[in-house]
Parts: sequence; structure tokens; C-alpha cells
Amino acid sequence: MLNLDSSLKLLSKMVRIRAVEELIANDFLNNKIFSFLHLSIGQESAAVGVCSALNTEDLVMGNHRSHHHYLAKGGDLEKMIYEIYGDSRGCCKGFGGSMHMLDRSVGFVGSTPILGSVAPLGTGIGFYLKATKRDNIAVIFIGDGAAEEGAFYESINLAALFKVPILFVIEDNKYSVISSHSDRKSKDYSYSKIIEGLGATYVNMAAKDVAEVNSTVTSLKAGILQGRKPAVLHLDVVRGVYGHSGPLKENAPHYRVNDNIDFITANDCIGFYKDKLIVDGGIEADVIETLIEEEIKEVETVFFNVRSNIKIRI
Amino acid sequence: MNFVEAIRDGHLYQLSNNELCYIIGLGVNYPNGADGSTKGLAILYPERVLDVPVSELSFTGMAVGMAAQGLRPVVHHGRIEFAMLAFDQIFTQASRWNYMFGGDYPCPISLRICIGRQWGNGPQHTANYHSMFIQSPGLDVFIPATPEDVFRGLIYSSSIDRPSVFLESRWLYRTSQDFEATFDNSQGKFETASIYGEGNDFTLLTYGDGLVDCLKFIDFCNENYGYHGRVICLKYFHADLRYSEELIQAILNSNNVLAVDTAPFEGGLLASFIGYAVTHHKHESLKVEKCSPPHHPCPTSPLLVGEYYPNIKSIAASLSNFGFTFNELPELLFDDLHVAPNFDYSDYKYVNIY
Repeated sequence: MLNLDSSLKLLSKMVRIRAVEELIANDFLNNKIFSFLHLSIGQESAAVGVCSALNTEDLVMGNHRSHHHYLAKGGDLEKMIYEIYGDSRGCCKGFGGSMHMLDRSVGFVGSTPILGSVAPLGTGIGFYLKATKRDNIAVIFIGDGAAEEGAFYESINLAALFKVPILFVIEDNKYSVISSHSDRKSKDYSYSKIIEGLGATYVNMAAKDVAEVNSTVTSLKAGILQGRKPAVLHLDVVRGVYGHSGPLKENAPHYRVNDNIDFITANDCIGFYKDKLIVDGGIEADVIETLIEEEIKEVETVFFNVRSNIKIRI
Repeated sequence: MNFVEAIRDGHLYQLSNNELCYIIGLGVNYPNGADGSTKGLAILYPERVLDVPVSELSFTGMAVGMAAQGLRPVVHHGRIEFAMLAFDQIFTQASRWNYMFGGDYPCPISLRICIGRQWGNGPQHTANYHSMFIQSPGLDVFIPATPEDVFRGLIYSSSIDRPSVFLESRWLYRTSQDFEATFDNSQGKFETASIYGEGNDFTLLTYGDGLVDCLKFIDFCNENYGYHGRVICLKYFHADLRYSEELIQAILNSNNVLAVDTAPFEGGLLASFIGYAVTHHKHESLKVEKCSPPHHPCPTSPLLVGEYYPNIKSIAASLSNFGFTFNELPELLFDDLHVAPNFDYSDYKYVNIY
């Protein structure tokens, strides 16, 4: 049985992330933004599902694509928008830009775009939590491309050796830029054999259902703290219609052969969860639509207000 | 106290004065860990002196993450070539951390990286990449030349919030010095260079393992030729201000400057400092010569190493370009060229500049 209040919160958080990214994407296309941009559209359930299972004191790090992680952990929306536009009121005072999200007040301790780099950094953050005897975990997000870098494997070993409380989350959108898994891995490649072989718990699941991600992370966190064993959560996500970088819709031949626009729409995490709340939760469709509209409106109000304060080529 | 003992005493100070301090590196918990520089520390602090898997990138990155959250890790890399596996974490993460996040987010990691010459180590164990570190803003760079430098440097680095890198010459590990092993951090600064000797006929500009041969040369000149020179030994480079005004003035006020570099000169630390100093002051002219290894890696065989590094003879040869004449130079023995020196710095007076 779904808890109505928390279910609606999960939905509105996903809607909030998508709404602001759509607005940002539009300005990027109109040459109003001079920060490199990687959108998370389509992957919101991964961030919201994971972060909604954490406390403020659990420390999260992200990567080049981390607007959704930052907002899901409770990062300040206005400061994120300012940062992306290069304004000194941004979360990094304009020094970082889109690839450097930071809000330490909510336990989002940074994002940094050198892919697998974040795995050792997160291991150090988890080490700190353990050394200072806190009942919290570190969480890092990486993509399926970054999970091919040695730093990731080395870090799992380090975390297992030192019993570091850390959850490594792989957001597997199937593409490294536009290279698919079969371009990058042998057919015998096995995440579970590698990760379990290094001494970590491994769970693979589709991230489409934000509530399922939430409950999985809740139990993984408990296991990490009780079992003193790191974990890897491998989430299958569906990249939205935008490509790797910027709001550009890449059209390379043989890219996205199987997951075409119909597939993307049918497997969209927001659409899926909306339907689930109506069908399984028994919530009236128009209640949900009203909630979504209100959330979007609220984001637009904040966005355009912030935007009107920015002097950089608007 | 020799160089290795001075490092160990510095670590003892760090571990005993701050329970957030960790020493991390391959074999640092061995009975004679890190060439003796961490000897016995793991017995005293088993939870904070940590051996690690051979994963240079990741244990360095782990330390960066620890430092960003407020711990004070010191990471040891036995050779620069292994630290290079961790350059992403040193350069791209640690050095830029506070800057890219808009400030107020320090990352006080400290790195000890062994660098440069050692007999028998060959082309892949003796690289001198000091200048790469100088070129990256955000890192405080220490190049200790004496036991006192390394002891005081370690203690000073514990008091600052910026990431720091010690480029440590193993060649100097047997050098020794009598000094008072205390350091008052209250002055909040560290000497950017030290000047040895008072002669003004010529100035040898050097750093790190170049100092020993420079001091030997000054003695040789005083005793045999009546030429009186001095040495400016570069020691510390602040993350935000590489070359202080006082240092630039010191070099510009020098006669007959000979850069004695133990790394190939091209693109090196001394070349860049001289270039900066000269251009910084409206193109002042400075008479400069160089004495440095040829632009190829250091080979392994002593026969091939030969006189690769600067020595009394090659320093004299370079200085003769200024018109100094040296009729007779001492014969260099095998040990002078190929064995790490037992040099004692105790009797050499110096003045620090900041």
C-alpha cells in the first residue's frame, strides 16, 4: 500500500527537477548559458529514489550530470540556477558551473566531472563518517561509462578493506556519449561477479519505479551500516530524448536503435509513477495533474524570478 | 639528526598533536616503513598509520575525500612515477577543490612524493617533474633540501588549510644537520628560499638535491680560488603566490647567476622562475648561465650516468662562461657521482627570505 503523502512528494520532486531542466535546456539552446551542461531528464527517479531514503547527514557526491542529485538531496534551487548562469549568487559563486553542484547544508558535498574520480572521493568521505563514528553513509553517483574506470574497482576494494560505509550508485543509461555497452564491454562482462568478487553487495534493478528505488536504498543503507560492507546499486535508467551533453538531440546512425522515442516515452519514470499512483494508489488523475501543474508553476516562478536578476547575456 | 629521522619526527608531531591526522601509503606500517621515515609509527598509532592496496589513484583520492571533510591525511608515494597514477586526484581534484566550489571548502591533504635521482633507479624511477607542480595553482609546494627544512615544513603544512606537496629527494636521506626540532607556527609563513654564504662574485640558484653540490662548490672556490659566492636555494612555493617580491628582488640583485638544476633545464623549475623574475620587473637584465643534465632521462648504469647531474666540475665549467678561471679541478670519485651523500649541513649559515 502506498503512503499517499510520501508518494506524492516523490512525484513532485521528480517533476520539479524535470521542469527546471527543461527551462535551462531552452536557454542553453538560445545561447544564454555559458556553462557546459549535462541534463538528467529521464533519470530523475534514480536520484529521487536514492536521496529520499537518506538523511541530511548522509553525504552525497555527484558527477558531471548532477542537477537531479543535488535537487533530490534538497539542494537550493535558486543557487543552482544562479550557478548555471555564472552568477556570483550561485552555489559555487560562479566558479564551478553546472558540473559543480554543492550544498553542504543538506549533505550534498559536491559534484565533480572527471567520471570515476568521484569513487575514491566518496570512499574518503565514507572513511570520514566511519572515523568520526557517525551512523551515516556516503553515497556517490556515477554513470555506466565511469564504472569502466579503474578508480571505481579500486575504490570498491578499498571500501571493502576498510569497511567504509558507502553506497556506489551506477546510473546506467546504456550510453557513454553515444557508445553502447556492446561497444565497450565483452559479452561475458559481469557486474555482479566483479563487484561481489571485490567484497561489496551488488543489486541491479530498473529505476523506473521511484518508490522501489527508495525502499531498496533504505534496506541497503541499513545493510551497509550493520554489515560494515559497501554496496553497489546498479540502476537501469532511460536517457531522455536529449543526448550526452547539452540539450542536443543526437542523431548518429545506429545510436538508440532499440530505445527509440516510443520506448523512451513508454518507460519514462515520471509517466510511469503517475500512472502507478492512479492505478495502484487510487488517486484521481486530475488530482495528480493539478499537483504536477502547481509544481511546474512554482518552479517557473522561481526560475524567472532568478533569471530576471541575472545580468549575464539574458 | 638525518633527513629520514627529521621526517619521522615531523610525523610524530603531526600524529600526536592532531587525532585527525592519518599517514597513508604503501608499506608505511612496515618496521622500516617509507625508507625509515615512518618507522615505528604504526605501533604507536595503529588506527592512523595505514598500509593500503597498490591502488595509487584511489588511496590518494580517498585521502582527498577525507581531507575535504576535515581529516588531515598525509599520503606517501615512494616515487613520483607512482604518484603520477594519482595525478587526477592531486591536480584535478585536490588543487582545484576549494577554488571550483567557490571557497570556504578547504582540502588540507598533504602529499609526500619522492622524486629525482637515486643510483640504480633508471629512466622510470628518477624523473624530476617539479615544474608540473609549480604550474598548478592551488598546491603549496615544499622542496626540502635539509633535515630542518623537511621537519619544519611538515609541521607548517599541518597548520595550513591548503593541499600541500612535498617533493622529497631520496638522494638527501643520508644528509644530516643539528637543529632545534621545534617550530613556532605563529608567524604563519614559511621561507620561500634560503641564502647560504655571503659572497657576491656569483650566485648559484638551486633547489632540493642541488644544494649539496652547490655548498661543496662554494667551499672549493673559497679555499682554492678566492672567489666568493652564495647559494639561493628555493624551498617553498605558496599555492597562490609562487614567487614573492623578496625572492624576485634577491635574484635580480645577484651577480653572475648560475642556475644549478638537477632536472633538465628545458621547461624546468629554475627556467620558469628566472623567466618570471626577469619579465616581472619591466625586462630587467640578468646575467644567467645554466648547469643541468642533458635533455634525456637518467639511465641506470653508472657508466652511462657518468656526470649526468651537476657537480663541482660542471658547475665550474658553467661559471667560467662569466670569466672565472679554474686551472685545476678535483678528480671526482665514483662515490661523489653515484652514492647518496652523507653531507652535514650543520656548519652552513643561512638567511631565510619569505
